[in-house]
Amino acid sequence: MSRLNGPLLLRGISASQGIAIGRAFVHSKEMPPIRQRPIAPHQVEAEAERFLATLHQAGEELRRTRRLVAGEHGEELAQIFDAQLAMLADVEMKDRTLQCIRQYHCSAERAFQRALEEMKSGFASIADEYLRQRLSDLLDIEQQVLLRLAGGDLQALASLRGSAVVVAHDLLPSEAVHLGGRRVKGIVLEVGGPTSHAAIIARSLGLPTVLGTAECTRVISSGDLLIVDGNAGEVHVRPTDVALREHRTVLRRQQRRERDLSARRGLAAVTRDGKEITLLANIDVPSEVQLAAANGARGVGMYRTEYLFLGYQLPTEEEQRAAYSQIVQGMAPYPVTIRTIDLGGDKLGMSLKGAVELNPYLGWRGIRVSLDAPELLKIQLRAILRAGAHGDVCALLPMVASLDELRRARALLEEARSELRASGEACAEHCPLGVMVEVPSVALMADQFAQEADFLSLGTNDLIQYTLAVDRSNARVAPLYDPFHPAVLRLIDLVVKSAGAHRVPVSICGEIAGDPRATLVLLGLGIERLSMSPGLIPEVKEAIRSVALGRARQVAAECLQLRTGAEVRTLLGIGASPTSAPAATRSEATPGRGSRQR
Amino acid sequence: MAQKTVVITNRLGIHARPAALVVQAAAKFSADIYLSKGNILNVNGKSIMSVMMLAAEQGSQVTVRAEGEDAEAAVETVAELLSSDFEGRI
Repeated sequence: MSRLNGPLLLRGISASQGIAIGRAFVHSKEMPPIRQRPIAPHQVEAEAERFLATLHQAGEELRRTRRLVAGEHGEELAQIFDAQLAMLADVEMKDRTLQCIRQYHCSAERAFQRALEEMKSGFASIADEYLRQRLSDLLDIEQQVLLRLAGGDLQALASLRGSAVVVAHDLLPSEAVHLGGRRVKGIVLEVGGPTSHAAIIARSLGLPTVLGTAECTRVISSGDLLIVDGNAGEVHVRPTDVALREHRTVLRRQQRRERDLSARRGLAAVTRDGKEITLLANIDVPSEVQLAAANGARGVGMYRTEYLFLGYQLPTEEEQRAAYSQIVQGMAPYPVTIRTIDLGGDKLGMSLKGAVELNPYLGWRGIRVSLDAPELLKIQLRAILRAGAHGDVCALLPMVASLDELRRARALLEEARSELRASGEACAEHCPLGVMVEVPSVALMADQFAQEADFLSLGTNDLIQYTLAVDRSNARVAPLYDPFHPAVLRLIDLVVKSAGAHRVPVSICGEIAGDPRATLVLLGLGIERLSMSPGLIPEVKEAIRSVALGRARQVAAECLQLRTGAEVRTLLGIGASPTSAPAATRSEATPGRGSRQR
Repeated sequence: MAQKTVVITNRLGIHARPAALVVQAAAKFSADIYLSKGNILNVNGKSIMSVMMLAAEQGSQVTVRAEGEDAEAAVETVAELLSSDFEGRI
């Protein structure tokens, strides 16, 4: 364990916004030593009994956790544990362990470890990505059972006393659920993406969270003072007095602002000259609807359905319908836009014939996968139509690059509708079909798309990546990712004008929609619908209420004539170019909307 | 001993949920049930991990073999399930 004593700044990915200041609780899973010596012959049966009892106990605990999660976070999250429950009951695992105990007189933990060894290597060598992911379930089980057998500190997280910031390499689903309650102030993990289980749970609990901070468990010790800056995606370890003062001020301001904003929640999102702007929510799981409604969302601008598809099994039509209906009913009378799956084909258990994509951003994902598996897309469209029987739904297609993709998807939508009608199933009479504008070809052809799509939604995160050719997960080039680049603003302008000419609604659902510093220029470009993480709505509403549309139009027109992102930033008074690190990192990495848009 | 070879038709192959169903069905028989695919031979048909590790994709051939009293019925049931599209069951 190397340990530094001075202040340190760790950069990571923001997964849930807000600031937390507290002492670190480093959650390390150090296994107690496994007994290697053989046991006495007369103890063999007692050891076998001990193993079976432990297995039973682990199963009970897992079922209890599942119930807890189902109650707090909903059934879809609880299903994470179904695979583990099924695996825990595996006969082969049980028999091999018992055999090992009885034949070789191994201790229960040693026997269990040996039994799992072979299974783990079996899983690791499976070519199918979807099945291989079950290895993490196997590792979770192994840990649960071994810790129990060897008498390890199983309840470390659950027994956390006082309020603290949890620091860990990664959190397993069974651990993430212990994060609820008032004891945890924030989370810092070494790994994990913004769509990991831990990130989604952290967001639903409103805990400031920074992921992807390599080495955090090595450089942070339990008891260290930490500032988790979920807005900037930074962690200040053993901060200086200056940093502490600065962040305490921000924290106090944040708390005061939250109080103010909640008092002003009922106010409309209108500009000073009376133009009403529609504020919508981006959500990942159905239970976020409450959060959206509480923050004053006038609908769901984008429900990312990926989360439904990453679990134990692909969801059936009925399971999808249930999830979509929950959102539609929770959001009524406001509309809900459901985006069809935006995943790589490998995640859906479709073989890529062993080919690892060298460039997944330009690869087999989004609508490309869906159109290659039309039955899957049709099932999803049927579920959307059925959920629309009792509310207002729209379907949104990700990663579209050409008109024929829209046409083929529309044909499937019509097929789905006539099938449902033929079988007498209740379904939406009217379900607008929209296109994400995230590939530059669609922005450039927006006048054509506006004649065939029922609405357009600007997915600016990817649009910026593709337009500027910047992969922002690549740290070397990430500073070149500039939402205020004039090329980006010109594309937005083109799309808004084309949509306007054909009277087609257009919204923005990328991160920029939730950035109050961008509100002025976006409104000036003619955007009237903004979709963002529910928690960002109050701030953006405040920004809207300070805008005068006439002035905004002037500013936008000026921006379109500028030559660089830096010039735009200067004009908008938001300083620093994206290349001058700290402020820019801060601005780019704002809240938990991250790269999740993709 | 009874034996039968079937082709997997479910488009997603024998994934976690279908595997769970196969194991549930197999558990109802007293016979020992073994599944083989390609060079993976005789994995325990009553073990979900073993069945998942077969990674039987659509179009692959799986041989079901059973030994014991109700071997015939076991092979019939498991083979029928494996070759089904799992429609309405998952």
